[in-house]
Amino acid sequence: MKMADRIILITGATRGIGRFLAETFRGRGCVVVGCGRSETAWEADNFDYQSCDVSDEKAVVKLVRGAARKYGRLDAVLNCAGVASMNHSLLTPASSMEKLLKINVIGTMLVCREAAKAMKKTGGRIVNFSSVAVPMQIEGEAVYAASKAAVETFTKVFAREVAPFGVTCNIVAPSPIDTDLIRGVPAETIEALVKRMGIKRKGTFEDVLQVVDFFLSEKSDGVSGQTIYLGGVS
Amino acid sequence: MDRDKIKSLVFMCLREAVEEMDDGRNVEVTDSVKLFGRDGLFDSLGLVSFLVDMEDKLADEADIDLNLSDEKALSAHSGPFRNVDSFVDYIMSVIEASGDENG
Repeated sequence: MKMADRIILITGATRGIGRFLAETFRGRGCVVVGCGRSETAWEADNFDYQSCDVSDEKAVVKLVRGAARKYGRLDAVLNCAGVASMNHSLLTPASSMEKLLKINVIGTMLVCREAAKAMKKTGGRIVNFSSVAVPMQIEGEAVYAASKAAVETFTKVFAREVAPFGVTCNIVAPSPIDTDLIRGVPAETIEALVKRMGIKRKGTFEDVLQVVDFFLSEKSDGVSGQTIYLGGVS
Repeated sequence: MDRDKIKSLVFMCLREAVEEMDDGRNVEVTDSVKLFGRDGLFDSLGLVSFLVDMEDKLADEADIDLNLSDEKALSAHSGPFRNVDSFVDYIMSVIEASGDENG
Protein backbone atom coordinates (compact mmCIF):
# COMPACT_ATOMS: atom_id res chain seq x y z
CA MET A 1 0.00 0.00 0.00
CA LYS A 2 1.23 3.50 -0.85
CA MET A 3 2.13 5.66 2.12
CA ALA A 4 -0.39 8.27 1.02
CA ASP A 5 -3.28 5.82 1.33
CA ARG A 6 -2.55 4.81 4.89
CA ILE A 7 -4.65 5.33 7.99
CA ILE A 8 -2.30 6.06 10.89
CA LEU A 9 -3.17 6.51 14.56
CA ILE A 10 -0.67 8.64 16.49
CA THR A 11 -0.96 9.02 20.26
CA GLY A 12 0.54 12.07 21.92
CA ALA A 13 -0.07 14.02 18.73
CA THR A 14 -0.52 17.43 20.32
CA ARG A 15 3.18 18.19 20.78
CA GLY A 16 6.75 16.98 20.53
CA ILE A 17 7.64 13.92 18.46
CA GLY A 18 4.00 12.89 18.12
CA ARG A 19 3.01 16.20 16.61
CA PHE A 20 5.99 16.23 14.25
CA LEU A 21 5.15 12.73 13.01
CA ALA A 22 1.45 13.60 12.70
CA GLU A 23 2.26 16.70 10.63
CA THR A 24 4.73 14.75 8.48
CA PHE A 25 2.42 11.84 7.65
CA ARG A 26 -0.57 14.13 7.19
CA GLY A 27 1.55 16.16 4.78
CA ARG A 28 2.35 13.01 2.82
CA GLY A 29 -1.35 12.43 2.29
CA CYS A 30 -2.04 9.85 4.99
CA VAL A 31 -5.13 10.16 7.16
CA VAL A 32 -3.78 10.75 10.66
CA VAL A 33 -6.02 10.10 13.64
CA GLY A 34 -4.23 11.92 16.42
CA CYS A 35 -4.99 11.79 20.10
CA GLY A 36 -3.95 13.61 23.22
CA ARG A 37 -5.37 14.43 26.62
CA SER A 38 -6.41 17.97 25.63
CA GLU A 39 -9.97 18.58 24.56
CA THR A 40 -8.80 20.32 21.39
CA ALA A 41 -5.61 20.46 19.34
CA TRP A 42 -4.12 21.92 16.18
CA GLU A 43 -6.19 21.55 13.05
CA ALA A 44 -5.25 20.58 9.49
CA ASP A 45 -6.51 18.60 6.51
CA ASN A 46 -6.24 14.84 6.96
CA PHE A 47 -5.79 15.29 10.71
CA ASP A 48 -8.62 13.90 12.82
CA TYR A 49 -8.07 14.81 16.47
CA GLN A 50 -9.66 12.74 19.24
CA SER A 51 -9.30 13.55 22.91
CA CYS A 52 -8.19 10.41 24.75
CA ASP A 53 -6.25 9.51 27.87
CA VAL A 54 -4.35 6.40 26.75
CA SER A 55 -4.34 4.99 30.28
CA ASP A 56 -8.16 4.87 30.25
CA GLU A 57 -9.12 1.44 28.90
CA LYS A 58 -12.63 2.35 27.76
CA ALA A 59 -11.41 5.53 26.09
CA VAL A 60 -8.73 3.59 24.18
CA VAL A 61 -11.23 0.97 23.02
CA LYS A 62 -13.52 3.76 21.79
CA LEU A 63 -10.64 5.59 20.09
CA VAL A 64 -9.18 2.64 18.19
CA ARG A 65 -12.46 0.95 17.28
CA GLY A 66 -13.88 4.32 16.29
CA ALA A 67 -10.96 5.08 13.99
CA ALA A 68 -11.05 1.65 12.37
CA ARG A 69 -14.80 1.91 11.79
CA LYS A 70 -14.70 5.46 10.50
CA TYR A 71 -11.93 4.83 7.98
CA GLY A 72 -12.56 1.16 7.27
CA ARG A 73 -9.22 -0.06 8.59
CA LEU A 74 -6.15 0.90 10.58
CA ASP A 75 -2.73 0.51 8.92
CA ALA A 76 -0.30 1.80 11.50
CA VAL A 77 -0.03 3.08 15.04
CA LEU A 78 2.70 5.27 16.51
CA ASN A 79 2.57 5.15 20.31
CA CYS A 80 4.18 8.51 21.03
CA ALA A 81 2.22 9.40 24.19
CA GLY A 82 4.50 9.46 27.17
CA VAL A 83 5.51 11.39 30.24
CA ALA A 84 8.82 11.73 32.06
CA SER A 85 9.74 12.30 35.66
CA MET A 86 13.33 13.33 36.22
CA ASN A 87 13.91 12.90 39.90
CA HIS A 88 16.08 10.95 42.30
CA SER A 89 14.37 7.69 43.24
CA LEU A 90 14.54 8.57 46.93
CA LEU A 91 12.51 11.70 46.25
CA THR A 92 9.93 10.28 43.85
CA PRO A 93 6.42 9.99 45.31
CA ALA A 94 4.26 6.96 44.52
CA SER A 95 1.76 9.21 42.77
CA SER A 96 4.44 10.24 40.23
CA MET A 97 5.47 6.62 39.71
CA GLU A 98 1.86 5.55 39.21
CA LYS A 99 1.07 8.33 36.73
CA LEU A 100 4.18 7.58 34.71
CA LEU A 101 3.59 3.84 34.62
CA LYS A 102 -0.08 4.28 33.70
CA ILE A 103 0.64 6.46 30.68
CA ASN A 104 3.94 5.00 29.47
CA VAL A 105 3.29 1.32 30.14
CA ILE A 106 -0.44 0.65 30.49
CA GLY A 107 -1.25 3.23 27.82
CA THR A 108 1.13 1.64 25.33
CA MET A 109 -0.17 -1.85 26.14
CA LEU A 110 -3.82 -0.83 25.73
CA VAL A 111 -3.29 0.93 22.42
CA CYS A 112 -1.25 -2.03 21.15
CA ARG A 113 -3.96 -4.46 22.19
CA GLU A 114 -6.78 -2.63 20.51
CA ALA A 115 -4.71 -1.75 17.44
CA ALA A 116 -3.72 -5.36 16.86
CA LYS A 117 -7.38 -6.37 17.13
CA ALA A 118 -8.26 -3.79 14.49
CA MET A 119 -5.39 -5.01 12.28
CA LYS A 120 -6.10 -8.72 12.73
CA LYS A 121 -7.56 -9.27 9.28
CA THR A 122 -5.38 -6.87 7.28
CA GLY A 123 -2.05 -6.81 9.13
CA GLY A 124 -0.41 -3.59 10.20
CA ARG A 125 2.50 -1.80 11.78
CA ILE A 126 2.86 -0.67 15.39
CA VAL A 127 5.76 1.46 16.59
CA ASN A 128 6.33 1.98 20.31
CA PHE A 129 8.68 4.45 21.94
CA SER A 130 11.46 3.77 24.41
CA SER A 131 14.49 5.87 25.28
CA VAL A 132 18.27 5.70 25.48
CA ALA A 133 17.64 6.15 29.21
CA VAL A 134 17.17 2.35 29.35
CA PRO A 135 20.62 1.20 28.16
CA MET A 136 22.40 4.29 29.53
CA GLN A 137 20.98 3.79 33.04
CA ILE A 138 20.87 7.50 33.71
CA GLU A 139 20.75 8.61 37.33
CA GLY A 140 17.58 10.57 38.07
CA GLU A 141 15.57 8.65 35.50
CA ALA A 142 15.07 5.37 37.35
CA VAL A 143 11.28 5.32 37.16
CA TYR A 144 11.16 6.67 33.60
CA ALA A 145 13.80 4.16 32.42
CA ALA A 146 11.99 1.33 34.22
CA SER A 147 8.75 2.25 32.45
CA LYS A 148 10.49 2.22 29.07
CA ALA A 149 12.22 -1.08 29.89
CA ALA A 150 8.73 -2.45 30.52
CA VAL A 151 7.64 -1.17 27.10
CA GLU A 152 10.64 -2.91 25.51
CA THR A 153 9.91 -6.28 27.12
CA PHE A 154 6.20 -5.98 26.38
CA THR A 155 6.94 -5.18 22.74
CA LYS A 156 9.24 -8.19 22.28
CA VAL A 157 6.59 -10.60 23.57
CA PHE A 158 3.66 -8.81 21.97
CA ALA A 159 5.43 -8.86 18.59
CA ARG A 160 5.53 -12.67 18.76
CA GLU A 161 1.89 -12.89 19.81
CA VAL A 162 0.59 -10.75 16.94
CA ALA A 163 2.96 -12.04 14.25
CA PRO A 164 0.39 -14.67 13.09
CA PHE A 165 -1.94 -11.80 12.20
CA GLY A 166 0.61 -10.00 10.02
CA VAL A 167 1.12 -7.26 12.59
CA THR A 168 4.64 -6.05 13.38
CA CYS A 169 5.56 -4.18 16.54
CA ASN A 170 8.90 -2.43 16.99
CA ILE A 171 10.49 0.30 19.05
CA VAL A 172 12.37 3.46 18.32
CA ALA A 173 14.34 4.76 21.30
CA PRO A 174 15.38 8.38 20.74
CA SER A 175 18.33 10.18 22.28
CA PRO A 176 17.47 13.48 24.04
CA ILE A 177 15.50 15.77 21.72
CA ASP A 178 14.46 19.33 22.55
CA THR A 179 10.86 18.70 23.54
CA ASP A 180 8.69 19.37 26.59
CA LEU A 181 9.74 15.95 27.90
CA ILE A 182 13.23 17.19 28.83
CA ARG A 183 12.32 20.85 29.37
CA GLY A 184 12.89 20.57 33.12
CA VAL A 185 16.27 18.87 32.81
CA PRO A 186 19.25 21.21 33.38
CA ALA A 187 21.27 21.91 30.20
CA GLU A 188 24.49 20.64 31.83
CA THR A 189 22.80 17.31 32.58
CA ILE A 190 21.81 16.92 28.92
CA GLU A 191 25.33 17.93 27.82
CA ALA A 192 26.88 15.31 30.11
CA LEU A 193 24.49 12.74 28.71
CA VAL A 194 25.31 13.62 25.11
CA LYS A 195 29.04 13.22 25.87
CA ARG A 196 28.36 9.61 26.88
CA MET A 197 26.63 8.82 23.57
CA GLY A 198 28.39 7.48 20.50
CA ILE A 199 27.05 10.32 18.34
CA LYS A 200 27.75 13.46 20.32
CA ARG A 201 24.77 15.63 19.50
CA LYS A 202 21.18 15.82 20.64
CA GLY A 203 18.65 13.85 18.66
CA THR A 204 16.30 15.35 16.10
CA PHE A 205 12.77 14.63 14.97
CA GLU A 206 14.20 13.58 11.61
CA ASP A 207 16.31 10.89 13.32
CA VAL A 208 13.11 9.42 14.70
CA LEU A 209 11.27 9.74 11.40
CA GLN A 210 14.02 7.81 9.62
CA VAL A 211 13.49 4.80 11.88
CA VAL A 212 9.70 5.08 11.85
CA ASP A 213 9.75 5.11 8.02
CA PHE A 214 11.83 1.94 8.09
CA PHE A 215 9.43 0.17 10.46
CA LEU A 216 6.37 1.30 8.46
CA SER A 217 7.82 0.25 5.12
CA GLU A 218 5.92 -2.48 3.29
CA LYS A 219 9.25 -4.24 2.91
CA SER A 220 9.72 -4.40 6.70
CA ASP A 221 7.18 -7.19 7.18
CA GLY A 222 10.00 -9.42 8.42
CA VAL A 223 11.10 -6.95 11.10
CA SER A 224 9.36 -7.21 14.47
CA GLY A 225 10.16 -7.11 18.17
CA GLN A 226 13.21 -4.89 17.52
CA THR A 227 14.46 -1.83 19.37
CA ILE A 228 16.56 0.76 17.57
CA TYR A 229 18.42 3.15 19.87
CA LEU A 230 19.44 6.48 18.38
CA GLY A 231 22.56 8.51 19.08
CA GLY A 232 25.02 5.67 18.73
CA VAL A 233 23.77 4.10 21.97
CA SER A 234 23.37 0.35 22.35
CA MET B 1 -29.91 -7.50 25.09
CA ASP B 2 -31.90 -10.43 23.81
CA ARG B 3 -30.24 -13.79 24.49
CA ASP B 4 -31.43 -15.25 21.20
CA LYS B 5 -29.89 -12.33 19.32
CA ILE B 6 -26.54 -12.94 21.04
CA LYS B 7 -26.77 -16.64 20.27
CA SER B 8 -27.43 -16.00 16.60
CA LEU B 9 -24.39 -13.70 16.47
CA VAL B 10 -22.27 -16.41 18.11
CA PHE B 11 -23.39 -18.93 15.49
CA MET B 12 -22.70 -16.42 12.72
CA CYS B 13 -19.20 -15.79 14.04
CA LEU B 14 -18.52 -19.51 14.56
CA ARG B 15 -19.57 -20.34 11.00
CA GLU B 16 -17.30 -17.64 9.64
CA ALA B 17 -14.42 -18.94 11.75
CA VAL B 18 -14.99 -22.50 10.54
CA GLU B 19 -15.08 -21.32 6.93
CA GLU B 20 -11.69 -19.67 7.42
CA MET B 21 -10.16 -22.82 8.88
CA ASP B 22 -7.83 -24.61 6.52
CA ASP B 23 -7.04 -27.69 8.60
CA GLY B 24 -9.25 -30.07 6.63
CA ARG B 25 -11.70 -30.72 9.47
CA ASN B 26 -15.35 -30.97 8.59
CA VAL B 27 -16.95 -29.24 11.56
CA GLU B 28 -20.67 -28.89 12.02
CA VAL B 29 -21.57 -25.86 14.09
CA THR B 30 -24.24 -26.97 16.56
CA ASP B 31 -25.31 -26.12 20.12
CA SER B 32 -23.01 -28.80 21.48
CA VAL B 33 -19.81 -27.86 19.66
CA LYS B 34 -16.97 -27.55 22.16
CA LEU B 35 -15.10 -24.32 21.52
CA PHE B 36 -11.82 -24.87 23.36
CA GLY B 37 -9.88 -27.53 25.24
CA ARG B 38 -9.37 -31.19 24.38
CA ASP B 39 -11.28 -31.94 21.15
CA GLY B 40 -12.32 -28.29 21.03
CA LEU B 41 -12.88 -26.35 17.83
CA PHE B 42 -10.12 -23.83 18.46
CA ASP B 43 -6.51 -23.97 19.58
CA SER B 44 -5.36 -21.09 21.80
CA LEU B 45 -4.54 -18.75 18.90
CA GLY B 46 -7.80 -19.65 17.17
CA LEU B 47 -9.69 -18.85 20.35
CA VAL B 48 -8.03 -15.44 20.63
CA SER B 49 -8.91 -14.72 17.02
CA PHE B 50 -12.52 -15.90 17.52
CA LEU B 51 -12.97 -13.74 20.63
CA VAL B 52 -11.68 -10.67 18.80
CA ASP B 53 -14.05 -11.39 15.90
CA MET B 54 -16.89 -11.87 18.38
CA GLU B 55 -16.14 -8.47 19.96
CA ASP B 56 -16.31 -6.94 16.47
CA LYS B 57 -19.56 -8.74 15.69
CA LEU B 58 -21.19 -7.52 18.92
CA ALA B 59 -20.02 -3.98 18.19
CA ASP B 60 -21.08 -3.96 14.54
CA GLU B 61 -24.36 -5.88 14.76
CA ALA B 62 -25.60 -5.03 18.25
CA ASP B 63 -23.74 -1.82 19.11
CA ILE B 64 -22.22 -3.45 22.20
CA ASP B 65 -18.60 -2.67 23.03
CA LEU B 66 -17.21 -5.45 25.22
CA ASN B 67 -13.88 -6.93 26.14
CA LEU B 68 -14.41 -10.69 26.10
CA SER B 69 -10.86 -11.63 26.95
CA ASP B 70 -11.42 -11.82 30.69
CA GLU B 71 -8.48 -13.74 32.15
CA LYS B 72 -10.70 -15.75 34.52
CA ALA B 73 -12.76 -16.97 31.59
CA LEU B 74 -9.69 -17.83 29.54
CA SER B 75 -8.09 -19.80 32.37
CA ALA B 76 -11.22 -21.72 33.42
CA HIS B 77 -11.01 -25.36 32.36
CA SER B 78 -14.75 -25.97 32.24
CA GLY B 79 -15.67 -22.33 31.75
CA PRO B 80 -17.47 -20.53 28.98
CA PHE B 81 -16.13 -22.60 26.12
CA ARG B 82 -17.83 -25.94 26.85
CA ASN B 83 -20.48 -25.30 24.23
CA VAL B 84 -22.38 -22.51 22.52
CA ASP B 85 -24.86 -22.01 25.38
CA SER B 86 -22.14 -21.67 28.01
CA PHE B 87 -20.41 -19.11 25.80
CA VAL B 88 -23.65 -17.18 25.32
CA ASP B 89 -24.15 -17.26 29.12
CA TYR B 90 -20.67 -15.84 29.49
CA ILE B 91 -21.35 -12.99 27.04
CA MET B 92 -24.61 -12.20 28.83
CA SER B 93 -22.74 -12.05 32.16
CA VAL B 94 -20.11 -9.68 30.69
CA ILE B 95 -22.87 -7.45 29.28
CA GLU B 96 -24.57 -7.43 32.69
CA ALA B 97 -21.32 -6.64 34.51
CA SER B 98 -20.59 -3.90 32.00
CA GLY B 99 -24.02 -2.40 32.64
CA ASP B 100 -23.43 -2.50 36.41
CA GLU B 101 -20.07 -0.80 35.93
CA ASN B 102 -21.62 1.94 33.86
CA GLY B 103 -24.31 2.49 36.49
